[in-house]
Amino acid sequence: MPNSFETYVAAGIEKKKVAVVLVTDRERADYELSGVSDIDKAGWAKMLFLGSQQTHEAASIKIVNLKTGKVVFAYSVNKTNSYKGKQSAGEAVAKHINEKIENRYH
Amino acid sequence: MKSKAFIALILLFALFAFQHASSQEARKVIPPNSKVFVASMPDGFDEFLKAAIEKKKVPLQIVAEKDQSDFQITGQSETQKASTAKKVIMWDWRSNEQASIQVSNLKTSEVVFAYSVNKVSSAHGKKSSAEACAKHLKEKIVASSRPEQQLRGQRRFTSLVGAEARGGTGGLRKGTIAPLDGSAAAVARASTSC
Repeated sequence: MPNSFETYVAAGIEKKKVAVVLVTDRERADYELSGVSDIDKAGWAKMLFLGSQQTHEAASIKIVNLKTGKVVFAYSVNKTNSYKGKQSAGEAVAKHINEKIENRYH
Repeated sequence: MKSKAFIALILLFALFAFQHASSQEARKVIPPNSKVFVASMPDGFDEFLKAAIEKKKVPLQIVAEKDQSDFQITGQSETQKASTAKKVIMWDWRSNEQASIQVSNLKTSEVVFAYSVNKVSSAHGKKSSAEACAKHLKEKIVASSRPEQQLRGQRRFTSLVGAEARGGTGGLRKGTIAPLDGSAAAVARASTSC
C-alpha cells in the first residue's frame, strides 16, 4: 500500500487481537488485504486558527478471498484531526475487521 | 445421564479449543537470542532501530545477511519536522514522528509481531520512536518466554467453559472470514489499487 500503510494495519491487527494469521507470502494466504491511504498534514492556517497540528488521515481497504475472488470485506476510514496519525487509521481498520469476523455486521 | 454427556461434550470442545489456542500462541513466539535481519527502511530508520535494540538490551542477535536469520524486521518511518508556523505559533521546534515495524518468521512467512508508534513533538526524534519499538519488541519476547504466557490458552479454555456454562457461545463464533481455523490474511505490498 502507499506510505507503507500495511505495516500500520498489521500493528493494529496485533493490538486489537484480530483472530487472523498474517503472512507476508501471498501464496500461503487464504485472503488478501489491499488498499490505499492518504495523509494531509496540518497547514499554517490550521495551526494558527485551530491551534491543531494533527493530520487528516484517509484510508480504504478491502479483503478478497483468493480462492473465489470475492470481496468479503471493505472498509474506509476518514479521520479529521487524527490523534495518532496512521496508527489511528490502522487501528480503526483492524477494529472493524475484528467486528466483521465476530459477525457483528449484518 | 444426559448431563454427563453434556459435560463430556463441553470438556471435549474445551480441550480442542485449548489445543488450538496453544498452537496459535506457540506460532507467534519469538525465541530469545533468535537471529534477526533488519531490512532497509526509509530515512535510515533501520539504523536507529538497531541502536535501540542494542540500548534496550532486546534479546536478539542482529545479523547482516538475510540468509543467516530466522526473523526479518521490516517497517516504515516518517518524520515531520517542525514547520515555521509551528515554531512561530506554538514555540515548538520538535518533530512529529511515526513509525511502524513488523517481525516476520522467514520460514513460515507469518507475521509474529507488529507495532506502530506516533509521537507528537518527539523529544529525540527518530531515536524516541525506534526505542519505543525496541521496548515493545523486548516485552513481546520476554512475555512469550515466560511459562505463564504458555498458559494463556488455558485461561481462554477456562473462560470458554464459563461462557458455555452461562449458555453463551464463548469466543468461537464463526465468522465470514473463518477465524481461528488457520486462515491467513496477507498484507500484500504489490496490491495497492482498490
